[in-house]
Amino acid sequence: MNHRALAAVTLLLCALAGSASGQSLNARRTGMGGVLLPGGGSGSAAVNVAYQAVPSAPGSSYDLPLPIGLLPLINDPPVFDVKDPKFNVYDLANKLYNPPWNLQLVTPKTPSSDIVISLGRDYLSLQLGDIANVFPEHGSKFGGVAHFPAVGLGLRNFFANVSGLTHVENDLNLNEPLLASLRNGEAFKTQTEYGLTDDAKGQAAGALQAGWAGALTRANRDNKAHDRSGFYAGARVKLLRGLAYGESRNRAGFTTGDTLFSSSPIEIDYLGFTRTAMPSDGGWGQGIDAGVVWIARGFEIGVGGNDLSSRIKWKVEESVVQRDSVTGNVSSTVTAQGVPYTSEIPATYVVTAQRRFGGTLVAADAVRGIFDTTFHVGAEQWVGPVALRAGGSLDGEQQIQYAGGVGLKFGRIGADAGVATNSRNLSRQRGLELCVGLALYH
Amino acid sequence: MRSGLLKLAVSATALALLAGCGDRNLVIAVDVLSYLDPTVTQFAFGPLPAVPGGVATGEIAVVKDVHINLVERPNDLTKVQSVSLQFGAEVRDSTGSGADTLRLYLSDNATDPLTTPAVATLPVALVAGQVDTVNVNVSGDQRLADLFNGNSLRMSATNSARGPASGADLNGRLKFTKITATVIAGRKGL
Repeated sequence: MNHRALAAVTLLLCALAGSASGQSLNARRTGMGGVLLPGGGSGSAAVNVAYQAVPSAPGSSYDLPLPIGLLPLINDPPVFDVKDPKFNVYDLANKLYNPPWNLQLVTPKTPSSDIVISLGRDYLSLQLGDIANVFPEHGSKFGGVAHFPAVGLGLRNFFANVSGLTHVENDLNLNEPLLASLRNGEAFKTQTEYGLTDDAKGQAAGALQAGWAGALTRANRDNKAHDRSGFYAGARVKLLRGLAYGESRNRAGFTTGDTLFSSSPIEIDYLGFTRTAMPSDGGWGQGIDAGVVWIARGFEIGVGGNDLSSRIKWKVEESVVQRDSVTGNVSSTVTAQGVPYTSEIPATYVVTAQRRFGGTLVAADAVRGIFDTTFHVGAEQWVGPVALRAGGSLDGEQQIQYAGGVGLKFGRIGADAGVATNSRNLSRQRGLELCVGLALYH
Repeated sequence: MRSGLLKLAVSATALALLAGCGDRNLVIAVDVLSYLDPTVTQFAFGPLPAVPGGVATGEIAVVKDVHINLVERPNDLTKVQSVSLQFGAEVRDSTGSGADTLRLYLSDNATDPLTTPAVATLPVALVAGQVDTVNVNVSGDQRLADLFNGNSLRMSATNSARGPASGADLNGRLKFTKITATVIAGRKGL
């Protein structure tokens, strides 16, 4: 793979990982702690399909994110050549964890420790200092399902549109001895098995969606009325067409003998299993989204579930990747082609709530993703043409993050800026990013 | 895979993690003493009778040409910047007085260590009934740094004692307590 292709793949992974790790490209949301703000209408239906039937909230806007973080990236592109002195594995990994769409105001501190290898006749240890945080105690998991904006039409309470989705997840685990040696600097032991497992999965699909969303009860039937009180429900069925699928399950490790450095060989065990499918191998699938929204006395709460029993059929190629014990080379062998396989897209659940207290909007959400649950809360106060925003969140690592922002409104045109802390990096240190965007108010 | 690759894997992991640590270094602390058979790291000397001017034993090899495997590193990525050597011994003088000199020799794989200059010299004054712990630190020697650029080296150690000019015969025991090398290696180009 040449460097350009590697860069493209990395950027693609960045895009997928960004949405997976909870990064927001919406400056208003960023300033409010990343809280979901389903204001109503088709634009909110990706979060909760019932919002398709909810009239847009007053002051709602169409938002255009400005990826200002790409400017320094273009000026100083990442280096992929390990022999280049500028090669920086942390920088690359952090761009994957925290895609550089937003401008990084405070980047995580580069690990500053020396790495110490202590070596004796039958002794080996590795002291990584603050770099040891690269190896989390309970493994490293990230994943998410991203839905592309839908384009379609509606008739009364029925609607149909086309969209797409991507699903990516990765689960890396080190066994206890390996974790102890790498994270805690414990000496390697004799007659001990050291191993790691890494399971990765990614898939993309196009979606033809059709559904119904409506008010089961409604205080005011006039869609243009400010009173949106009512109980709304919606459901959406999806006809999915698989576009690409990739899955790998990797096991690697070694077992030490009676002495660490005896003349008898130590075998590195590696076994990988992959399933892949190209667009021509993609089959059809289906899925269901459903949700409800209840609005009363200015209080609004929504509960939605996406990809409930979403599945896609494929014809996959299966391969085994293993290390040749004689040559030492790692080689891949195709074991089967055209194997029927059904993949699953994990369900995600969202609970949103918001209420106005005078001129202040307060919103909160809980998002159950593939591996974790995140919580966000935010507030917005307009003072004339200026919006002041603040918020916070509890991220997937159970760390509290903080945010703040401002908005300016000139007639129907607005500009927003938000700053938010995050710990989306290898060393779990806190960083600060700036997100800006334009808004077109309804 | 040969067991040496365990060291290579560890050092490769360390180097991968080092990429991006700015001007930080890979430090390899080698416990050279652990490579030596315990039977050669402690020995008795004497009796050296008291004669005017003292009797010299001359240099006697106590550690003879031991091969030491270091951490294997991808040499196109790392270079040794400096090496410091800590050499220590405990000397237990039973009777008599005199002087003793320990010498440490290191060489590359193709050279007999004893044909090269000593990398560390440890002089010890011997006083009857005393137990002394002596140490010496050697650093900044370019030849030493060059030796640790390789993946292995050879080591010898010698002892030379001089007996008393008068009084009781010199008898004692000597034990190496520390031979460690601290190698500072950085990424090339940094």
